[in-house]
Amino acid sequence: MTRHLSDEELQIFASDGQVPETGMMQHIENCTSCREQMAVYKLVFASIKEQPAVAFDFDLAAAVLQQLQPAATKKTTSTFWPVIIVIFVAIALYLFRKNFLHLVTGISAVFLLISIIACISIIVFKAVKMYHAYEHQVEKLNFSE
Amino acid sequence: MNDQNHHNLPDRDLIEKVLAGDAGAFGLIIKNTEALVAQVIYKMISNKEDRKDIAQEVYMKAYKNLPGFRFESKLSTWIARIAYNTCLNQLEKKKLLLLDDIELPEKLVNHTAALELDMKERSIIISAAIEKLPPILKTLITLYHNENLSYAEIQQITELPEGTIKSYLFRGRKVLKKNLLQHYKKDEI
Repeated sequence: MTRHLSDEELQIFASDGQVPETGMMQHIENCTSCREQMAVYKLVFASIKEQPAVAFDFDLAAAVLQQLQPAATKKTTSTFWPVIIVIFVAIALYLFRKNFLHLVTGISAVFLLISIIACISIIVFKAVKMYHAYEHQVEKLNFSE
Repeated sequence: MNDQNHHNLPDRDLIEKVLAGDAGAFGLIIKNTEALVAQVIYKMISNKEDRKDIAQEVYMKAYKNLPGFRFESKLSTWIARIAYNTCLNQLEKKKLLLLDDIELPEKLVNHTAALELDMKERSIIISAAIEKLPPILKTLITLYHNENLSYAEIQQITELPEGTIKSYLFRGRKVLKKNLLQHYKKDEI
């Protein structure tokens, strides 16, 4: 082989530990320039490896966990109000049970069915809207799995 | 279970613990992965305060997205990918150049002289040259040479095609070599 090795070939042989093919090997043995260039690359790679590892100069785990803590507290308090509302509604239903029975007995079956369907439709619509809002928020995090 | 045993837990067990509400397990995930995340953030972001904010943002994103982790890569690689993307967004926001053209010194000196530089001096020159590289090249060189990641793993983090990774690495190394030789030339003058 008469031509000098390209920079790319020199890097491959110096970095990846690949053995050059016979023709290239013979050229390297006889060519001072290629041999020296390869040696310089080896030094460059060794110097990169010698670079000290970087590390954060603060306690990252503590800082992140501290931010997660309020979220957990918020989660606990968020279940408080629904429970209170359920209790309040249960008390109201118990106190006004006779009035509610009068209300229901006066309604036709068709009207009752329409009301139930309307309620379910609203709940489903709200749930879909919430899910889309959640998806949008996740998308805003600029993360794709 | 003590802390030492926790550290040795596989990714899957740690994730299950976090999803079951064990925040301490997430602390261990941070400890296990922050070295790689630090490498990415330090190479991509030069501002110290920004690094601190980004590091926390990365793990907040990881925590929120943990239920969606599909075990298609190592957990550390997945979090490093979040770090890389977060840094890219930050650089784009600040309109910083990601892969600006690198000017290579034209004339080179004889290589023997460069070979004679002592290890410490060489290390300083290379360190300074790495710092001058564009963020993506810096990161690729660090991931490949310092973190010993394979091309496939670097591809998972950066989402760059393997050919592009190899090409960027080639360019980066060439610049480092030329910087080393150029530095010697200056000294000689």
